[in-house]
Amino acid sequence: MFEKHRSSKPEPVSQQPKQDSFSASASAPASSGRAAVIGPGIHINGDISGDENLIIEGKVDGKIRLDAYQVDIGQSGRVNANITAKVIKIAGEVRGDLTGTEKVVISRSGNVHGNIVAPRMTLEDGAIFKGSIDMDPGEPAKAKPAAAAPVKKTVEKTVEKKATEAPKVGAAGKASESKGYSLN
Amino acid sequence: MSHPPVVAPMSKTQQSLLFPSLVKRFASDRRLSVLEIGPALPETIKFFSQFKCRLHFSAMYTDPVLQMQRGEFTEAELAVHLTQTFGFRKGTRFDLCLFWDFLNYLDDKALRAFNTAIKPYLHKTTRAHAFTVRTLDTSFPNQQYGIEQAHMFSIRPRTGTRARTTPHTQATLVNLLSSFDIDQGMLLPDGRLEVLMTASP
Repeated sequence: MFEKHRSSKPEPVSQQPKQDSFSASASAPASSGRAAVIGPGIHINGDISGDENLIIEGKVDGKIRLDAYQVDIGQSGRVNANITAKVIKIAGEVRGDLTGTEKVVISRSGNVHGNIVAPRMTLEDGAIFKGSIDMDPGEPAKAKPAAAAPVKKTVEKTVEKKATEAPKVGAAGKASESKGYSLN
Repeated sequence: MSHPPVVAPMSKTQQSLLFPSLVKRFASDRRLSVLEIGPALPETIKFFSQFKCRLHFSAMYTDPVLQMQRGEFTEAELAVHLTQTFGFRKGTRFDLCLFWDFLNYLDDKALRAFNTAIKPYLHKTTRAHAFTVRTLDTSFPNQQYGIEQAHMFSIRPRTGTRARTTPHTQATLVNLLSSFDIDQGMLLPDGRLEVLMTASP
């Protein structure tokens, strides 16, 4: 249904379905860079599923399910839908719940209102997000990264030391006079 | 001659001596449920990504309730608005609430409404972090907070129009926010009080 291209710059989707695009898509993995494009002038009401990557620069209302593939919502993309995909990258606006089986990325121009389930989540500076994020869903809690343990230990030690001696903490992280006390 | 700002506006970090004690609780195997009352910031997400948890970002600093409280809305109406705005899933119970300085943007009526709205989502061991004041002449810089490390908060200037602040002393706070008791406090050099609270739902 969607016109294919290899360029990173999306073009409007073809109005006429092309049979060969379906046959070619079956062998397009998420990392291949091949993608169908919903152009900025297109508005889709309904569910989208398939076996290739998808770039959305237009409007979509409904559901999007591309389990093993990547969905990119460009800056002009406006999506009101739940999305399930391997990788979801958002530079436009999304209202809906997102499930990224590999990762979800909200770039600086992205605006997302919904709930996110993904083992890895990246939010770039300037991105707007309201909702919940499930980290590491469906897996047993992993041990903290090896690098995290010494940091925590150091912090505790520092706190204990400072609390028993002369606590010095400053807004902005600058050492300055302050008083610590317990309200118990 | 102008006075130097209480907190340097370009500051990037702020040390916390209290927050690490909350982080100790994160070693639990069960999924943590965390409420961040402010906006989602990259460093906060990165910090919590090392834990199995559900993070809920409410972005309340930009919520209409800050303007509504100046109007004719009743406490009950504000509570309904807040409940709808939160949109928490049924059965949600937060283990940790990050209020930062948001409570000081709510007047007495709105803070009671906030207490009503948040109460159903607390359990008896819910902990919270907030900034309040020791004296009412303390000012709050217009900034937003994130978590760089357990003992280090990030500070960013907040953009957009700033809502009017209504600072609460800890005595006032515990009266209006009756769902929490203050456990521990740390007076900061600029007059703010960093507090840890435990729910008393």
